[in-house]
Amino acid sequence: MNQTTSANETLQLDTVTDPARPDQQVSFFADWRSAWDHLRDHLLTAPECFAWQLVMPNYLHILNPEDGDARWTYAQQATASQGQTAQPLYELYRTAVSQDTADATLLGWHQDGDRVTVCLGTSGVLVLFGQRVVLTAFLPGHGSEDATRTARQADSAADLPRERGMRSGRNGRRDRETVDREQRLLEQRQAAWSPAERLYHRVFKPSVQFVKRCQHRHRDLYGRLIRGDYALLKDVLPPLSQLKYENWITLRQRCGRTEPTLPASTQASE
Amino acid sequence: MNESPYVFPSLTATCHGIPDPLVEVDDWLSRLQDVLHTGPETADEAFDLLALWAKLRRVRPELIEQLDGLDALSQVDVLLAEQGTHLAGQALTVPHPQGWLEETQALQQAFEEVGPAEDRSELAERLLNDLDDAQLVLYAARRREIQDLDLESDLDDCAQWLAEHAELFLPAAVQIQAVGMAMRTDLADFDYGLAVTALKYLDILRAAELAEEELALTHVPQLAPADARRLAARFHEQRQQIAAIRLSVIVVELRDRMRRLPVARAGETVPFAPPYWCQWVSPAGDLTARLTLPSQPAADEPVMLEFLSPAQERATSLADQMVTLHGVRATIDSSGKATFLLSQLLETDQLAVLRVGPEQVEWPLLEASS
Repeated sequence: MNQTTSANETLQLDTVTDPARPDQQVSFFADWRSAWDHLRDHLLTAPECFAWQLVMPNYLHILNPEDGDARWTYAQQATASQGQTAQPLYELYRTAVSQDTADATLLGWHQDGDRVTVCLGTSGVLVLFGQRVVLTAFLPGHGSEDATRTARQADSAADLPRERGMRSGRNGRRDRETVDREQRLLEQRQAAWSPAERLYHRVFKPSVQFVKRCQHRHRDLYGRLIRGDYALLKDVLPPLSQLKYENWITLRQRCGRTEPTLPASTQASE
Repeated sequence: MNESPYVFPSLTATCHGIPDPLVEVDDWLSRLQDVLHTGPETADEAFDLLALWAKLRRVRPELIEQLDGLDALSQVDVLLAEQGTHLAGQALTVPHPQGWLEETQALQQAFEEVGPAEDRSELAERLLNDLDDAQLVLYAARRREIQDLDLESDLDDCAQWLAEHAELFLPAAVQIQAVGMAMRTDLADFDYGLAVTALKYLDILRAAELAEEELALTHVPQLAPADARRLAARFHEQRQQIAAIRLSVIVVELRDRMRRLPVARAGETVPFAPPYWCQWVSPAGDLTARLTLPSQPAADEPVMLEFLSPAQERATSLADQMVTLHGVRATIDSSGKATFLLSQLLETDQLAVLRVGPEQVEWPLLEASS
């Protein structure tokens, strides 16, 4: 086996456009290992993988993110092949990120910091650029420790975010039947959402909310940023109250996006 | 706005204009729009609607206007006029003060554990918001003449707990300052019931002010520079004396152990003890010399005096220079260390004296292990 062949046997890296300098292409991650780490930690880890499925419906052509075993097997194979078998997923990831960085350029949703550039697109993908390289690209608020913990315990109704602490319902005032009925109502309502509505409500809006909250949450007692990169976006993003679904659709159209569709097999099952 | 009782201009973040009330108001308005868009149909949505409506009543109207939020508030007014009593009844089934009090344990525990600071901030913010929402829902229900004395009493217990533990909410201090900045300056006159729900923010803001004052040592009177210099000189002198005494004790112990060595070899159990060490500093303060002495010495045992840079790397620049320790001479080798025989060091009376270089400059003793 010669060296050229050996080099080709890892995940092949591609480029995306720097939103602040649209004439510059930057590497989509520094090396195959970094790219693979991000694929594994963001696209193959619950609950963020469910959100990625809404951003890139063709994800389902590669694997079903609802199937934890399938994700595990895919990750094991990709690790063994130095990311090579994850090439199709990398391509989907890069395409989704490219589309969101293009949105960011058009809408001005990007900001330079001291060492990084950060941007957000209309699918809610947050991308952090270093010196001519993408450092990370993810869906903010979907991969937090808390969200991951909740996803792992998804079978337990007691761990639903709305059923904790103060909002857990008063003893004797809220019977199980009412809770179940209301839960069914919410599920029915969400089942009626179009793919675009799902993308907006489940991915884009939580992303923007997360970024906005970082402005205050990621600071110490004196107001110094303890994790500052996302807060850079605060001044370039419109107010949340002006990013209603109708506004978002208009922005997507301006960015040349069409409403995402789910593969026919999934549509039929819904 | 600086005259607002909810704005503490002395707080560093406020002083630097970091908290942004529009971020908070925007979040509330956006969530209110969501509830209006879907219903509200469930108890949780009724709870959110009433809490957000009351929260926005506390806000300076110009901020809501700036975010084009007046329409949403008008829609809520119409909705509450039609279904207010029903919605309040639904919303009152949600708050569970006991669950909240149980969750506060996690906040207390978060300070005991190593973890990302933003996790504590998030938890503090959520607990505070949850209590605030519940108090605001109770307020909204009261306006519709729905009384719930049990809930009122339970929420008072929660508020009391918060007042007694306000410092636990300091990780969310910047967000709380932003909420304070969003509040109407005339809140107590505008609506006393609403002003009562804002008291907890005042408790935390006062705790933040106190914490900043304590951390800045503002209550500690400044020493006169001459006094400070005299105290520092005295500290160095006393530290040196203490180190010399400790070193004398070490030497006496080692001599004693050397004498008892044959007995020990004959079978006496020798307890384990860590090695001794002492340290000198160069007159310029840029280098240190560290001597390590074994706790169970042998007569012919070599001991090392290492010369170290501030980065704790061997000071090889001193290679080939003469060094005198306790009156015993040696040469610093190319790796920045000088080697002595322990028995020679223990025989001398010139304890704690280290001289280095061609001029045999004396290095002061810094410390010795106790």
